[in-house]
Amino acid sequence: MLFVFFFTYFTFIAFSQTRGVIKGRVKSGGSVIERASIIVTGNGLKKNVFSDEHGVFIIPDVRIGTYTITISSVGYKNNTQPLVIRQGETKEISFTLQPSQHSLREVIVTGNSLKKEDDVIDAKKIAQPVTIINKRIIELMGSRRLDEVLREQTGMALVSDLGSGNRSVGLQMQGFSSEYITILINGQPMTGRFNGNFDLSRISVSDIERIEIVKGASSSLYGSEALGGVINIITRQTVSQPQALAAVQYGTYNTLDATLEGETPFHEKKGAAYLSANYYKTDGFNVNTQYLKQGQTGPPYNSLNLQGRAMYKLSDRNTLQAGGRFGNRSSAMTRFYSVQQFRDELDETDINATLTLNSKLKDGTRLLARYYLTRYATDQDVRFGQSGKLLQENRFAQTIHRSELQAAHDLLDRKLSLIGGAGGDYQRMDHRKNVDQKDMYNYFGYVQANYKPADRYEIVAGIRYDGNNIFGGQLTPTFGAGYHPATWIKLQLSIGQGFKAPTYAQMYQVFTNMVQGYTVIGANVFNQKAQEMKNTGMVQQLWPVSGNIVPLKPETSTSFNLGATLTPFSNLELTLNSFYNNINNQIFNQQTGIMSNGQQLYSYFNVSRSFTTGIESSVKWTPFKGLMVSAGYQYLIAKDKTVIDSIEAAQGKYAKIRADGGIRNATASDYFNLPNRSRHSASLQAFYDYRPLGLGISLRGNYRGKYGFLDTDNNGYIDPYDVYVKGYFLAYVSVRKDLCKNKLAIQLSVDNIFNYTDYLMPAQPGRMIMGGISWRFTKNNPLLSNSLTDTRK
Amino acid sequence: MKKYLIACIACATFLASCSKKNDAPALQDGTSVVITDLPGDTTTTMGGGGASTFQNLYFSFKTNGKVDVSDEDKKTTKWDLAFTGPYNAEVYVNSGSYQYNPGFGGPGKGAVIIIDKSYSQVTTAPTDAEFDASDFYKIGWDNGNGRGWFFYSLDNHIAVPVKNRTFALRTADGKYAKLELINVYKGNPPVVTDLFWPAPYLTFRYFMQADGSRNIKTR
Repeated sequence: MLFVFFFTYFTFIAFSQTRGVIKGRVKSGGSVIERASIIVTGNGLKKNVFSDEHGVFIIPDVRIGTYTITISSVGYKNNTQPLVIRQGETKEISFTLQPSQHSLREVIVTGNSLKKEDDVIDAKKIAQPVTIINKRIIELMGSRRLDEVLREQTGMALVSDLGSGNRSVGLQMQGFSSEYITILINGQPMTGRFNGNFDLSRISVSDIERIEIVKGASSSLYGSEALGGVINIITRQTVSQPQALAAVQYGTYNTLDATLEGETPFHEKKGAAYLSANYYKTDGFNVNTQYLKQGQTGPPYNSLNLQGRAMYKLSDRNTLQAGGRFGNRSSAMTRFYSVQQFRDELDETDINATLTLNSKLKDGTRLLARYYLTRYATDQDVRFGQSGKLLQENRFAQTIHRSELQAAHDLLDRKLSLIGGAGGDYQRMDHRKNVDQKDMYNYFGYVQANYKPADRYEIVAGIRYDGNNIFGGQLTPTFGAGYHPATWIKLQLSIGQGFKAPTYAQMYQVFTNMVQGYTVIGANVFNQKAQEMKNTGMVQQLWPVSGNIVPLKPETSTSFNLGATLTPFSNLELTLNSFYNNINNQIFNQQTGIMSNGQQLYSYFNVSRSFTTGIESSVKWTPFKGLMVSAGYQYLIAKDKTVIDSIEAAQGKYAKIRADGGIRNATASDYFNLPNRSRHSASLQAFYDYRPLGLGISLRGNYRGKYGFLDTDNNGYIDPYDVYVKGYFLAYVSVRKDLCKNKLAIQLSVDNIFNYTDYLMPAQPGRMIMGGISWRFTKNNPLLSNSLTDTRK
Repeated sequence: MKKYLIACIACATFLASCSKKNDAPALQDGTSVVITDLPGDTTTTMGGGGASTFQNLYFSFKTNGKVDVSDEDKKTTKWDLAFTGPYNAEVYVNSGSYQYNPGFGGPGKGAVIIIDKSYSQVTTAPTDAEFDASDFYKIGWDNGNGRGWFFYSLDNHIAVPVKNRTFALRTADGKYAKLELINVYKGNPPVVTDLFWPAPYLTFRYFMQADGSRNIKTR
């Protein structure tokens, strides 16, 4: 026996005649182990709990009988022993775990895999479904940019918004387009969108510790705008020893990805600092060679990402942290369709900075106070190559100052945990061309309670208030419940709400498209501005619909998720989740008149009522340690209710279809989905991480069913006679080998193995072969990052 | 293992073999005249100046090509079609009777009737009485009223030609013809994937019955 037990027996006040309590503490050497896994089986029970930050765990209300208890923590030998619970007994046990013989090769950096230093919101406490992608998975994928990681996930797609230009790409999730998905870095919102689209390729994954994906409206914790979901990027969290890393990847399209990072604890491990720099460049690619004779459909660019982080333990209870990120990108993209070469240039910079004070009070309360600053500036224009004539210009800078106070506290023997917070921000948008900019102030407060009265039940309830100086306030509630009818089944329900204030442009901006000549006037100023333009002769005619323009209301969404997780065997997990999201008061533009130049005049209306609904399912199988096979499928219906009603009533502007044989009445089955929404999508992934040989292999594929590209008959929705992007399958492989006691790693990855491209997907590159090498500088043998399966919610 | 390998190779070959060609369907039917990529005023864009800055493009069915038309020549039958307005996408047939027609006041007998049928299905021109009664003067943007040759896509901000719509014409000289306007974008792509795809490069086809009869059947 390598491990040592310390048993202490106590007689305690019994809960009932036939039940007892198991209490314990997990230690190694002199220190406690947090997030050790404690599994108790036997007597029809299978119960898994984790130790808290004091190494303590408690399993109340255990029937009398004989059990087997297994304590495990990565990097330690499992400790299994029999356990007898007698009537009315509380068993207090102290465990000491021995480090595993192989631990130097197998250990994770820390036992608490989901720990966050600058956020008290624990992903496990979110009511909505959460997916976690950890660092080892990202490493084994061989991905360089954030979009590459996310496009392979089930139900997530990268969508080009060609109406906003070839640079406008965003992530779609549960049928929600990018503008409804909040992107956070360490819990703080990132900014910088182009017509609502957040281009994730501007973020390097080199310093990402893990990615937490929340699906469905989760506004109560993450802010009102998270109508469709949240992508939370967690950067490097824990520094345990001085080390540095140099890594480089090079391959197809002259793509170069170089990373330098260093980290060290200092001042007797009271402080730690981490710094990383990533340089990325690519030549871009052209998937429309038939028409685009020279140039790119996917832009060439170079980008520098700097990330730094430092923490210092002021006292046992208080830690001060500072983090900063700088990202830039510059890109010149030419396009030449055998005539009229034009040039599309972009320069953008992105800064995020935080200062956080993290406190653990005596009574266990976690307090966090932080200040966050972000600024995104972009300068993009499109010009004719020869004449230099300007075709499109997009210049703006957005700055957000934000402060927030968060607290988390556990009550009732950890059965009830509370999270709350309050804060405010100041946002400023500078369009260089518009002088009458409005600043915006937002303020918010939220509270969430997770209550677990018994093993089988769990309830989450939360509410958030968001206000701003233009709209006033709005409450968004969230609710979730979990139920275990049996130890291997978990049922989960969540309901959430969100709202999205109209953008400044939708309310106040007057914008004329340089190329097409159409003009858009913000709804809140339409009447005044249109009259002014009419007086100066710029407007030829205002249509009757323009009389209906009223100041915009926020868009609101409600989302429902109902799911089940089955674990019939410890190595097999099946999940099934059905979702329904509706968005009301959706803001869309509509033509309201004709300009004197013959082009259209538009404004914005709260018109559309759309919904997305569907089913997501996944299977995760871990036949043996190191191999993880998973498959996922999503069925999606995303439609506009106004269209459905019009088709059913056989009247209104959506009732007709331009079929091949002429115009006919539409039927319900003619309506496919909203543009860019596939009905079917699936993914298949196998990760093999054989630690004894330091070998990691990943083989992945994803399928996306056909989706509507363009409504060619102007009836306002995608029907069978419109243009579709054909369904496609992409495959990926990556092999990584750690050598020289994990100091050296070599990697070869092939993305899009079958080189599938389609000119209707201008942002999807062809086959990319990348080779990489990295070296870790450290005194001790370096530790590999976390294991594959460390993604438990 | 071998089986899987073969399956993989087969799969790869299959996927490689269906690398798509995004050509537009063949336009040439042997009797019609097909004009592709006729450049309009490609140096002007919308915005600053407005529509008037696009130079008109004149086209003749006699020479099957572009003709230079001076201001004095406008009131002649030297031209049959005038491509005007933003991106030269608004088309007039030479007529002396409509005030905004470039041939207003001239001898042009032009008139247009919209027929919601495919080009080959239009075989007989309407009668003179029908042409005379037509209140459709300019073939341009269809804002949903069914009167035009292209839609404007709000999703992608591009002009999308209306499928299966043909224009029966009476020409400047009183002959009968049919016209299909196909594209305004360079290369006549079936789908435009770029906001800045070069335009106007006009693609259209027509058939004029030279013998003066109303038979405009083509094969």
